[in-house]
Amino acid sequence: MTLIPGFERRRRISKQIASLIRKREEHRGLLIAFEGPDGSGKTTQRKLFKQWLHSEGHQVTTTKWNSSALIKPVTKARKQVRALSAEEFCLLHASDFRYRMDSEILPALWDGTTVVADRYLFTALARDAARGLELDWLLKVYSPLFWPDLVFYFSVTPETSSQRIAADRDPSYYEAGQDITQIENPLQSYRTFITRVIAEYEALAGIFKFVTIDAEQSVYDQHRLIRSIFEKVERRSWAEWNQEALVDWLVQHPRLAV
Amino acid sequence: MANQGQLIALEGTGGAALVQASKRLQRQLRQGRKPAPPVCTWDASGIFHEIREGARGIPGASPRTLLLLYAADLAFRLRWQIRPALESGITVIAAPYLETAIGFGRAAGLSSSWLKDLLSFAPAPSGCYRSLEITGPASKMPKAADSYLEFCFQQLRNTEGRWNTDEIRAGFLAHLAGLENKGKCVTVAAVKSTKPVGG
Repeated sequence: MTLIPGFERRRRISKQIASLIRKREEHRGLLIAFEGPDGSGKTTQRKLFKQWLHSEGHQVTTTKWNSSALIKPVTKARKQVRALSAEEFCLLHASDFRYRMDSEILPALWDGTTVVADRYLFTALARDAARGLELDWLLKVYSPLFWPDLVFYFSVTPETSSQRIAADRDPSYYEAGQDITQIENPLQSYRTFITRVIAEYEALAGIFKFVTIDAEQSVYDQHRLIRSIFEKVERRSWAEWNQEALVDWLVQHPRLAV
Repeated sequence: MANQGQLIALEGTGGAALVQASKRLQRQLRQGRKPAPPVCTWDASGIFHEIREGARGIPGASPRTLLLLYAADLAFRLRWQIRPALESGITVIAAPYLETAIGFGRAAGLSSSWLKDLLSFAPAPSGCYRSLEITGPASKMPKAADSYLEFCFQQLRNTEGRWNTDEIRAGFLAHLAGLENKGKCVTVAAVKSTKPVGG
């Protein structure tokens, strides 16, 4: 018989883990994701939301896209020299995401801290699909999926996104999607690329039931809306939605006394 | 148009054993006066080297993250080394290739379907070999720079998790032995002809 020790261990203790997950449900933190194209104002809203949560007595932490101490430098260096194919771009961001899930997001949620994610895996799905990769494969790369309790999607038109970005700076090579559009002018390329990204986001918003925020509204109105939606949010049951991802994490974790 | 070259996989724990096996396989696969097939090794992209250099004091990555990184490096190797060689009609030895990643992932408890899906962008090899593992007391402690597996073990030792790297190594070798038992790969030392197996 072939010996696969890790697999055997997982099978043996997964029932115990399932019971541990059920017990944790009441004490866990919430995961709230802020998604949307560049220039949609989600970072402004994320900061306001975090401040408000603090003022309401919540323990809160933020996680940002492509920010892990281990992998971000590697990705950044390759972006600077424009050395990434669509697959490499996808897989490095997926590595960064998984590393943050294991070392930041899940430990914080488990300990009862609310996590506000400035971009979550839907960013990858929208951008990588806009780069021509199959959504089915992308979902597998990011498996096991861990579903947030709430996803706010900041909706703007490609024109608004382009205007807001152009007011600030030239978009970077990959931000502008120049690796796939082959358009030399970054702003022109950005307009083409962000149209595709937004189309992907709109499709995802329907499939995954995002809460869409009209990001063309005033900052104040958006913030008020976000607060009122959050106050009514129902926790997404971990046992029902996130068991596989939690087993994956807990099976090797010292917090688990098995 | 040139004929397609053949992609030959060579799997193993890495280090000196894999280097020796690569050389032996190169000699065996060499045809006439043609140059020996090139060997495409792990970390051609430099990802692992850079992580190793920058990782001091940073918690290590989980097996799933390590496999995503392997896939990123493999995508680079396919783009710059393997596919260009094959398209030029050159046979290329990928050492390691898919089964090293799958064996590590399985031994660490990940599902084979996830591993196969993750690596589905990579073409199946025409033949699969494994290196003869060096047994007995090691002359030196393996380092993370020696191979993908040693890199992974170093990362796992730096995580909060409880990873038994000896157990994972045993599971990895059992995976390769299982492939060999099913006739899906051959130990290089045991190869008598140049006809690839598996694929």
